[in-house]
Amino acid sequence: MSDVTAVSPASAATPAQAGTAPQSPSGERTTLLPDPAAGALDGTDPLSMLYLFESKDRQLGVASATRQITALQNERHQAVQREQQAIAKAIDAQNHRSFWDDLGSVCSEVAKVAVVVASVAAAVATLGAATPIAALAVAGAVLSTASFVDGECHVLHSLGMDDATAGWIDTGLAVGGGLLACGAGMAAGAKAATSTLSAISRAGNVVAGLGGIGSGAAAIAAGKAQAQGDQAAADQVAAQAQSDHASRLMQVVVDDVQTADEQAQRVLGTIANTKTIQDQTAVSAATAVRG
Amino acid sequence: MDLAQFTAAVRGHRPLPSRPATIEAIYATAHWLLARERAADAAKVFRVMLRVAPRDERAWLGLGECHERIDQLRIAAELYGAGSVIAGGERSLSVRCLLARARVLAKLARGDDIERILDAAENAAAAQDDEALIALVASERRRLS
Repeated sequence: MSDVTAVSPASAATPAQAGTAPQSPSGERTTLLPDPAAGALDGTDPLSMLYLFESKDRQLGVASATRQITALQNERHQAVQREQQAIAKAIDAQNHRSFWDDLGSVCSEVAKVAVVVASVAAAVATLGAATPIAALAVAGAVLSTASFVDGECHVLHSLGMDDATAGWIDTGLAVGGGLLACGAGMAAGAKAATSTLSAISRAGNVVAGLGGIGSGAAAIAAGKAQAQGDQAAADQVAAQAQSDHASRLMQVVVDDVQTADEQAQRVLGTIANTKTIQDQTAVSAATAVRG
Repeated sequence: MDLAQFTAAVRGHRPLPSRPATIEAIYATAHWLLARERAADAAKVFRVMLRVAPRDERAWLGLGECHERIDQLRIAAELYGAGSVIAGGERSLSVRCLLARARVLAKLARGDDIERILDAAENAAAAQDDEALIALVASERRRLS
């Protein structure tokens, strides 16, 4: 889209006509939304279009939400399994520790952070593929719908964000900022993105491993056991976080499906009624004119 | 929120193919509704547009504006953030989404982030070699500084 002229929709002309750019007293533009193409709605009533799109949104919403819920349930099962495995590994590693036990609480933290960073970065690295783009579009739509229904704060808090948190898309993009530059060179798409994903994950794992092994030569003898323990702890943290997020998101999606369906029904009814009244008014007016 | 869960969760979903005329009609409808202060209705239509044309920056801008109209600035910021990447395509970022995001962050008094975003917008506009976009970024920088 190359049209730079931006106008405020609040005072634009009908969609079939190009609007004139409303300006503030200082002559500044007030919105970045461009005008619709001239004639985009020629011969079509916007209310009818709303009815159509409402129906379409409902169909899209239910279908995609069903897929989301199914996939999220699978994710949750996998997260629980990973958590159990991590706990088992931690217990096993604990049994093999000796006087080296006092090492590495700091190193352990480093390992956890590295794992989480690798996880977020890996997620962002997949932005180059087609599917995550659609996924983000769906995520945006769900976020928007849920916010309209439940309010901004409720939704953000449901997703585990406090006021100080930049946000889930935001955080992902910020952490993956460097990856976007990588993505710019990735005309090959998914394949290249996958290789970046692997590279980032590997880098994260290397850092995690280093953190787990501990600082310097002191850790050589018990390094392996300590590393296993720390890695297990990191795995557990990551699995727990994933499980929590999946649960929260699943709840949001379930709520979204329930409310969206009811809402859609109500809106369709309202639009249909409005259309009926409009039609009746038009018929009455035509009858009156004819005498 | 872990993005990985969500991207994995909806794996398999694909945007529906839509003719350009359909996209324009969707956008015109949403624009018409927003012009009449029907933000909730406009948001519904913008969401449809988001699903069928996620690469179109107008969908992200419009949906974000709907949330701004009801004072949900952080949601708007999220949408603009996602839009800046997705609508920018594989080789760049959406300059308008970045600018919209900078505006919202200014309202949220998150000044530290604004300069970074404006720099990204400037770089993206320069990379696209689009004089109008470059001018738009410069104008926004003056406005927000």
